[in-house]
Amino acid sequence: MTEYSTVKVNNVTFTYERGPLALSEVSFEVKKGEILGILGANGAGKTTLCFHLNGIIPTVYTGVEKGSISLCGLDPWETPIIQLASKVSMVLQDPESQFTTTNVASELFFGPANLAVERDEILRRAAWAAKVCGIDGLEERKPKELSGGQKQRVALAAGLTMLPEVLILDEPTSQLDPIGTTEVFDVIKQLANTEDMTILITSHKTDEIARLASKVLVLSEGRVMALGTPKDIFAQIELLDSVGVNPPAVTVLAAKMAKKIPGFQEKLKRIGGIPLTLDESYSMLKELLDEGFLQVEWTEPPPTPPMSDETVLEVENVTYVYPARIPVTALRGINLKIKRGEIVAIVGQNGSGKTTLVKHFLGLLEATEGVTKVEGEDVSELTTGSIAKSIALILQNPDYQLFCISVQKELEFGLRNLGLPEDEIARRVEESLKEAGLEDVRDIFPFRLSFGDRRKVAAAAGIAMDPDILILDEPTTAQDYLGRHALCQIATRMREKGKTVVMISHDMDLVAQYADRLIVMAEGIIIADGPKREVFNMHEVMDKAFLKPPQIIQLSQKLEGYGIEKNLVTVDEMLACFKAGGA
Amino acid sequence: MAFEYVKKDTPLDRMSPLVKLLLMFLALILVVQCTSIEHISILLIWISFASLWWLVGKVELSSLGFLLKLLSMLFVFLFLVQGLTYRFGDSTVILQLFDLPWPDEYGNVMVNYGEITVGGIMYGLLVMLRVIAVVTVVPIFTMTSPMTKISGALAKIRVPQKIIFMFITAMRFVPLVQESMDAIIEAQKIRGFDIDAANIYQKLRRAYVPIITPLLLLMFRRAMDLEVAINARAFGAREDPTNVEDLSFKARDYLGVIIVVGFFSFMMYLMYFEATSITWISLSTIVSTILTITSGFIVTTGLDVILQNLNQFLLSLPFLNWIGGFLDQNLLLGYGAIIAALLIFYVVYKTIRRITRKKKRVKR
Repeated sequence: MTEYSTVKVNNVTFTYERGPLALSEVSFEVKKGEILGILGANGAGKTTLCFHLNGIIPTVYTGVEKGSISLCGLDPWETPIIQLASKVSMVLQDPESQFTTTNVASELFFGPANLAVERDEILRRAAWAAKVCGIDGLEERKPKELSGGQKQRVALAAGLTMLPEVLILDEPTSQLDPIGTTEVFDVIKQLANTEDMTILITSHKTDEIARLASKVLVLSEGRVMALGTPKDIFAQIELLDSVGVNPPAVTVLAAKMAKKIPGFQEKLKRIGGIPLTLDESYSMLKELLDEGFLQVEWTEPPPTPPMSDETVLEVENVTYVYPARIPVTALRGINLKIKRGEIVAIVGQNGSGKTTLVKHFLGLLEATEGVTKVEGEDVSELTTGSIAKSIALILQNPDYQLFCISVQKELEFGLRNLGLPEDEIARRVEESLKEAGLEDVRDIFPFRLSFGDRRKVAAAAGIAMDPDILILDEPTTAQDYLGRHALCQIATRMREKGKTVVMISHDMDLVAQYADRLIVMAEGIIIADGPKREVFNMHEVMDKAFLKPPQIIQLSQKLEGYGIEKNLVTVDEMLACFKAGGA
Repeated sequence: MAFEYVKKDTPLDRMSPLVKLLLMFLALILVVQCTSIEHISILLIWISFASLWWLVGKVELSSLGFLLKLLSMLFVFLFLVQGLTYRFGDSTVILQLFDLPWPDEYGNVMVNYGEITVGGIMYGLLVMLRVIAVVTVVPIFTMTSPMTKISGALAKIRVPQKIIFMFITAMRFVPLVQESMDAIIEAQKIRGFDIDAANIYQKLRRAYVPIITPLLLLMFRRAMDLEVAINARAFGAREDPTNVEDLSFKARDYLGVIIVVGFFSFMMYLMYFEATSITWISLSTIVSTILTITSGFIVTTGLDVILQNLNQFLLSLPFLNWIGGFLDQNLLLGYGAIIAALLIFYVVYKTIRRITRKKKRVKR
C-alpha cells in the first residue's frame, strides 16, 4: 500500500492573478500514510501550496499555473472541487472562520449532507469523527461556546466526515494555547497511526513537526529549499536560519556545540544524527558527559537588569464579572504591581483572564470591585483617550484597527487624536516607521500588506504614541519566527529607553527569552508571579496552567545533577556551560 | 444576541418551524387587511393570541421590550404624523400645535394640518398595532427554532439550497458583526479615539469612518474565508443534500396548524361579517366604561377640584404660564399646565441624569 503515491506535485509554478509569483518549480511526492511537514517563513508559499491540493486554486483564487499535480490519481485543475472535497479535506489557520453552520452537530453533517450521503451513514460518520477528535458530547454547542482548541478539532472532525484520503492542515495551531496545540497534534498523530491517512501539515512549531513528520519540505519564496527526513533537514541549521525557520532548540544547541567543540560532529554521527527531541538530546548529552567527552563549566547566566522602585501599574484586589444571562467571573481578587522598566509576561491558558486583566489597564473595562492605577492615577476616573497617552496595546489582530489609505496616515491617526502639533506628529511618524522597518511601504494601503507587516504597522502606530507602557497581546499569532522576534525586539529597545513592557503570550520560548518576570494565570487568579527562572521551576503551577517550559529549560532541569545550577533559558546560555572534556 | 435560539424544551421548541412560519405568514396577511380604525379590536385580539405563544414557548419578555424600545421612536413619529394628517375619523381637536389651514379648491378652509385630532391618534394607534402584530410573532419563530431545523424546514418546502445557506449565513454573521464592531471600537479607543466623548454631530461627521472601514474590510475577508470553507466541504455538490434533522409532521404539529389556521379564520370571520361591529362595540364599551368609572371616581372624591386648582396655580407661575397656556386647549383644557409641568420635570430629570453621570477626567 505504501508504495502508491497519494500526492504527487511535479514542477509546479504558480502566479496569482495580478499578483506575485507564489510557487516556483515545486516538486515532491507523499506516499499513503506519510506525514509531510511543510516549513517556511510567512509568504513562502505554504498556504498557496495547500490551496493547490484541495482545489481552492483554481476555484476560488485564480492565476497562471505550470506543471502538474496528481492527487489520488485526480488532477485538481480538471476535477471539480466538489469531487476533490471527498478526497482531500483541509483545516485552516483561523478556528473562527471555518464554521459554516451554527452548531457542532450540523457542522459535522454539513460536508456529507452536501454529497447527499444517506442519513444513517452521516450520523454514523459524525459519531465516529467526533470520537476520534475527542469532541463527543459537545454536539449542541455553538461556535462561541467552544475554546480555540475545541474549534480546531471540530474543523478537523468536520473534514473527517467526508472520509478523505488526504488531510491538509494549514498552521492548525498558530492561534492555540499549549494545551490546545497538544490536543490537535495528538489527534493528528492518532489519525496517521490508526487510519493510515496521508497528512500534509504546515506549522511554525518545529518541535512538534520534528516529533510527528516522516518527511519535511522547506519552502522559501515559493521554491523548495530542502526535502528529506526531519533528521537531514534540521541538521542544516544555516539553511533553515537563512529562510526564517527555527529548528527545535535542542537541535540548534547540538549544532552550535558541534561548531564549538572539536570532535562533536563525529560523535553525533556515531550516535545516529542530530537530536530532534528533548529525550534524544538529553540521552546524548548524558552519554557524552558520562564518558567524559563533555564537561560542564557553570557559567552564571546574565543577571536581570536592575529595576527602578517606581510602580507604574498597580492592580488592587480587582474582581471582574462579565455581565451576561449567566454572569461569568473573569478575574477574582487580582493583586499586582509592575515596576518601571520591567518586561513582564502574562501567561496562561486561553480564557484564563489575561486579556481581561490587560483591558483593565487601559480602562476598557471597569473593575466590578477593586482599583487599577496607572502611574498613581485611578483608571476608572480617566478617559480612555487620555490613558492612551501612557499605555499602548498592540492587538492580536491588526485588522481591528487599520483603516487609513496609507501606512503613514495610519500612524498619524493616533497622534492627531492626542492633539499634537503637526511637526511633532511628523517627527514621531518618521521615528516609528524607522523603528518598525516600514519606511519602504509608507504609502501603501495597509490592507494590501501581509499579515506580518500589518501587525508591524499596528505596532508602529502603538510606538508612535510614545507610551510609557507597551502591551503586546500575543505577538506570535500567525507570525513566523522572524516576525515574532521582530516585535519582541522592538519591545526590548523600548525597554532600553526606560519603558515598561507587558506581554501576553503562549509561546514559552519567546517568554523565556525576553521577559524578566512571569505572571501565571489560571481561572481568573494569579497562581504564580516571580522571576522567570524561578517560575519555570514550579512544576505544579506549570501543570495547573497547562504550560510547558521551553525545551532548553527542561533540558537544564534534567541536567541539574551535572552542575547546571539554575534554569537556563536560551541556547547560548546553555552553550556557554559546556566545554570539551578530557583536558 | 437578543433573538438567538436557546434550547428550552418547550412544546414550541419541538414543534416544526413550518408551523411557526405559517403563523408569521398569516400574521402578515391579517395585518395587510386591517386598514380601518374599527380593526383595532381585531389586532388586539390577535396580539393577545400571539402573546399566548410567548408564554408557551417561554420566550423572554426582555426581548419583546428590546423590540419595542427599538421601535418606540417610530411609534412617536407615527402618532404625530397620523395625528396631524389623518382627517377621516373623529375630528375633535386634542391639541393645536401650530396653525396651518389648508384651503380646498373653493377656498374654504376645511382642515387645519396643525391640529392633532382624536381620529388621527386612533389611526396612529392602528398603524402601531399593525407593526406590533407582525413584530411579536418573529421572535416566536427565531427564538424557538434551532437553525438546523429552520434550514431543514425551508428545504422541505423547496426553498433553493443557496437561498437557505444565505439566510443561515446572515443569521450567523449578525452576532459576528456585533462582536467585531465591539472589538474595533475598543481598538480605536486605545489609540486615543474617544467615541464616547464625542458629541452626536462629531460622531456622525467623522467618528464612524475608523469603525466602519475596518468592519467592512474584516467582513469581506471573512466572506472569502467562508467561501474557501464551504467549497472545501462540497457545498452545492448535489441539488438535494441530505436532511439530517427529522422533520416529519407529528401530532403536535398538526395541532399547531389547526390552532393557527382556526384562530386566523376566526379573525377573518370577525372582520368580514357583521361581527366586526360586535368586537368594535364591545371594545368601545369597555373603554368608555373605564373612562366613566375613573371620571366618576375623580369627581366624587373631589380630585378634579384639587387638580383644577393645581392647574390654576401652575398657570400663575411665570414660565409655566407660557407653555401651560399653549397646552391648555381643547381636550387638555383644565389640565394643560399639569401636563406641561410633568413634561418639564421629565426633561429636567433626564438632563440632570446626563450631567451627573460620572465624568471622566483627562490624564495629567
